[in-house]
Amino acid sequence: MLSIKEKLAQLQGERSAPAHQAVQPSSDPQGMAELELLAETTPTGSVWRRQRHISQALAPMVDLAACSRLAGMDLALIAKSWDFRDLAAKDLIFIDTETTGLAGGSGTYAFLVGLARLHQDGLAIRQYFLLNQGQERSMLQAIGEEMGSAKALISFNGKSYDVPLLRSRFILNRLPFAWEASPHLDLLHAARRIWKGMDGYALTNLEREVLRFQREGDVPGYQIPELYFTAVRSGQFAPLKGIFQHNVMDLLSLAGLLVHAQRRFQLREEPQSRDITGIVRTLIELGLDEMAEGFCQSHLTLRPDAPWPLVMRQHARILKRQRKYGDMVRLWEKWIGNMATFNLEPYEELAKYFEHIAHDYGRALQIIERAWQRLEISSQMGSRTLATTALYANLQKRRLRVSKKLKKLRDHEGSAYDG
Amino acid sequence: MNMDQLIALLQNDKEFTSHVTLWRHLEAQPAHYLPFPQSLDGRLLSALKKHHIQQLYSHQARTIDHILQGRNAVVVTPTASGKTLCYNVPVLQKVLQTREARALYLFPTKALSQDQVAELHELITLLGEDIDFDIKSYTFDGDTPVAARKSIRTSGHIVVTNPDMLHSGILPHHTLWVKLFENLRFVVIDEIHHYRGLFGSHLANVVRRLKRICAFYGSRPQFICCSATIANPREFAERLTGEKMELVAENGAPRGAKHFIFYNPPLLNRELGIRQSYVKEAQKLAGRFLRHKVQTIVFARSRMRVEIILTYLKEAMRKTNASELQVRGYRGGYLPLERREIERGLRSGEILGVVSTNALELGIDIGQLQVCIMAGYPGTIASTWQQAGRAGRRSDASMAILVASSAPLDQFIVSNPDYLFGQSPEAGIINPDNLIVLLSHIKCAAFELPFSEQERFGIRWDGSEGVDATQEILSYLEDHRVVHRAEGKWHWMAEIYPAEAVSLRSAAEENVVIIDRSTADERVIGEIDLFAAPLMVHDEAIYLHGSQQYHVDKLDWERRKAYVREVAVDHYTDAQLKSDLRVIESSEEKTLDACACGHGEVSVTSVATMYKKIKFNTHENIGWGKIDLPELTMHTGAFWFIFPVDIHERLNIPQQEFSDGLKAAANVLGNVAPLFIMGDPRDISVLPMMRAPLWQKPALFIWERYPGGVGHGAKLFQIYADVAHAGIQLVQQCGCDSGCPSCVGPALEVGEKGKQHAVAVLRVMVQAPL
Repeated sequence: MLSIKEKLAQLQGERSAPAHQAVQPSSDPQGMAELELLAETTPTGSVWRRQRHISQALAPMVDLAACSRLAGMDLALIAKSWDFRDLAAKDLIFIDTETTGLAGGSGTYAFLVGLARLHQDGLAIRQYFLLNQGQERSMLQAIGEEMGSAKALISFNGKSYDVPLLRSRFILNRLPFAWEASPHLDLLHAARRIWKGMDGYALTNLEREVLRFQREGDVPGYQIPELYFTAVRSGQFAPLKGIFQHNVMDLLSLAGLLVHAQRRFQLREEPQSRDITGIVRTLIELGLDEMAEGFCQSHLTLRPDAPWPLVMRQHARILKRQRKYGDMVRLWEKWIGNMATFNLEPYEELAKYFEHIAHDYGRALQIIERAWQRLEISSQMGSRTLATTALYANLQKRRLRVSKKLKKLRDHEGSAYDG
Repeated sequence: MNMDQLIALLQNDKEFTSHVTLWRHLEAQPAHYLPFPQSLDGRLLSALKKHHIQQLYSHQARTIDHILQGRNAVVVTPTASGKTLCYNVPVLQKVLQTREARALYLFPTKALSQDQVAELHELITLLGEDIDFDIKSYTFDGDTPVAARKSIRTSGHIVVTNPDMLHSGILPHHTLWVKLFENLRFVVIDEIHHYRGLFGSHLANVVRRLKRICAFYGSRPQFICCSATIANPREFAERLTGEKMELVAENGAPRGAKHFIFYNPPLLNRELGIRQSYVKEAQKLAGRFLRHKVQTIVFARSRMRVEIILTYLKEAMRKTNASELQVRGYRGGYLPLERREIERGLRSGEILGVVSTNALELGIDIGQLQVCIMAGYPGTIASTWQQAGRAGRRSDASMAILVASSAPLDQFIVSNPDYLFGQSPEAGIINPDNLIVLLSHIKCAAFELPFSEQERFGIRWDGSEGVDATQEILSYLEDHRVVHRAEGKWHWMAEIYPAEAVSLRSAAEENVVIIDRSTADERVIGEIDLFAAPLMVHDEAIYLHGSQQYHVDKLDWERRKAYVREVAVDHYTDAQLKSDLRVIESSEEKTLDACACGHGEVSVTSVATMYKKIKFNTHENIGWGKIDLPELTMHTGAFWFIFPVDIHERLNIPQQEFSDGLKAAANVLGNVAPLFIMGDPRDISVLPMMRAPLWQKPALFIWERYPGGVGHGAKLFQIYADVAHAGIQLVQQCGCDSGCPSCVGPALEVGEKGKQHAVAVLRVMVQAPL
């Protein structure tokens, strides 16, 4: 009679024994000292932890001092959330996890959780390591306690990855998880707002483009799960050294990105023209209109080559919201005055304003006629394309509507006069 | 035209009646009511009354009572007998009592889930007037928008889904469904007869995983199952859920009178058993009914046939100047909105005719039509009744016509009405412990929650039962670097998402795809399982598909593709397969005097060696060729019957003729067995052996064509005498002279006396011990 294993092997069409026979790990894990890991006994079991203090001298590419001086306002701008207004750098906890893969679901877990806090003289990092899954509960409890001492999270893609993953692990260990509602600054989201048009938003891209450095000898992310599995199966943990370093680098880069993001809002670091939209929009959404306007103006003055449409559009939006219509009309007219190739937008915006807000149909019609003439001139030079046809149609529709309104108004006025 | 006129019309049609093998009038049955259970919530009672439900049918009342008493139940329900109430009432009652209570509904298809949710909504809306919170029910499947998922997970009282989504979308992400699993009170599994064979073996394991997760979160839901009429509903539901079930089998719903007609198209070629095309006959009948404005549904066995019949009927409608929009097709692949429109049209009567695959056999509400025509036996008795139930009004009589094809099972059914009208012989068979299936799901379960070193997979709520092999399978997974043992538990340790690699509906083994190259654009016309491919689609084979001949230009074995093109030739090909079978482990055996039988695990090796070209009509052998394909081996389940070594002498048959007779008997068993195991003819294969190894005696082996088997071998061990008996009926009733594909196979293969000898062999099986 065949054993279950033999039957399975036959059913699965295996010709020989599996290539990987389980290796029985030696009773004591090897290499913990090289990883600088120390075991700590907690009421629920052992927790392995590594503590590192990164001073400015150790991390020249990140201005840790500047980072530790970040004020609540800076954080609010970067996070685009007022939740951060009353916080300071010391209230933040940086988090980055190394996991067993990207498959998702309850079979994926974090085996290394790096937490970091800012101090005046650097970054204090604690890395929690899962020697085997039997210790997960005690590790999570320790992490939970440490996270509980901070007021806000800083992560990279943590909103969609690290936090949901940890939540799932806490639930699996029947532990309460309270960080879904905490203030959380996800630097991936912030980077997308602040640095426009990047060639991808992987952390390594941001390091190269924004922080201006490249990691050397880093462990590529896709190798991490397998390295961990091999270590657990063999009991040899020293080869994981690179992963611990990788995790430290991730945490440091978070600090670096915070500093650079803050500089953008201070105008201390001249933004690329394309970045201005995100920054201005953030300011507007936080209700900081004057700051946004100032940002636009100084940008237009500082950068004569600025892309008019982008900046103008943002600027005009602020003026409109503030009902500074006179300034808004001047701004659109300025655009028209500077316009090299035909663009309907400023005409359209002016026409809309006169029609819907000022109810000055006469002036609205004038704007439409001006646009029409300008379009004729520019389309005489080029051929009449589909796009031009659409522009004419747009103008025509608007002209008819406004004319009708104007006529109605005049009839009405006429009859009122008669009466 | 009303039903009486229609009946008169058909009865006076001599051409029609001459091909009717049975015309049975089923009497109307009145409703059988029972009062509402005492404990029913007053708000629910008044909602039901607003819903025009004044009393409960007896089966509804009994099921509801079982559930309210905390028991599990399976209710056997014909079409339109109000089965949804059987579970909606206890579920809503519980939610009214405990706001946090949750229920999970499983339906085999998405379309059905949506339909059932619509019905549930109606009841909830009526309830809503009397309660101060919202009862929320949602479908959760592949079409559910991502934005809606979060609120379904946390706030859906009733989540309606399908087994596939539960398997790959819900269970592996159970931490997102804490609310559901902590409060799960009921699991409803509807249409359980669909979950037979491999699909059911998978689902039983998905249920094991579900229960494991419920236990983790501290809930212990009751199970409510619904089934069409099958031979073993209770046993089947218990296998599927792993829990004790109460059976509610008597139907209390009223039934209108019904005329059930078997129509067997005229024989064209007696020798080959070829009849007039049943598709043509069915469409002619349907065309005739539609002309008389009789609302008709036609069921066809494939999507392609649906289209053929539909084209014909639309053309027929145009000829009578009626709108062709009055006839519609309905099958998987149509968009949901279009389906809803067709369903509405049928209910309102705007649509007169519909041609459908079995998609409409499920409980989707299309009202009640006058006539149902089945183009070919639907494959199972349960399906036949469900399809026939699509015609049937409570006040007026209805009609169901089964048009038989020349396939053996069709011919058997139209000749033996007792199998349809009597006690159903069909058993729902599953084998949740098939090792391959089990391995897949223990893998998925280990991903979901770590296993302890004492744990047995698939235990009952009371802690009994469970899979013995659990720990050994986990150790196998450790060898394969999938799990890791630490501190008394097996933990998942791999980067994969195992549910993704496990399909509940199809065998893991690959099929060979058949590609037609007759036209410029290559077209896939079918699939054939790997084991049958060397016989059917080897190089140079003539492959029959539909009624079209195809020449196989090339079988690309590595890529599992057969390239064919249409031809019209005067011959067919017949490949020789050298099969060998070895018993690996016998599970049960019994000696029957000189005979013996048993079931267990076998290893089947087969290799196609050569093929013959055989001319139609004359059966001349006009050439042959070699087949050069690798040998295939499969480990699977089987039933075997061993004859005494001198059986031919006992039966007075020359030894050579006995060999043909054994082959003939094997063909017959292969033809009728699907009727008993509720399977497809391709699910099993019968191998005759003159000298079976181990015994050195003549034997018949019926082996399962899915690795590891799904339990057909074990079932046949119990019922083989009934199967053999049905085989004798099939042979004796067949109109052919000396064997045809509809019974024992062509005379060329089984000899002139094949029919006679097959019956002799099958009698031994029926009568043993001799």
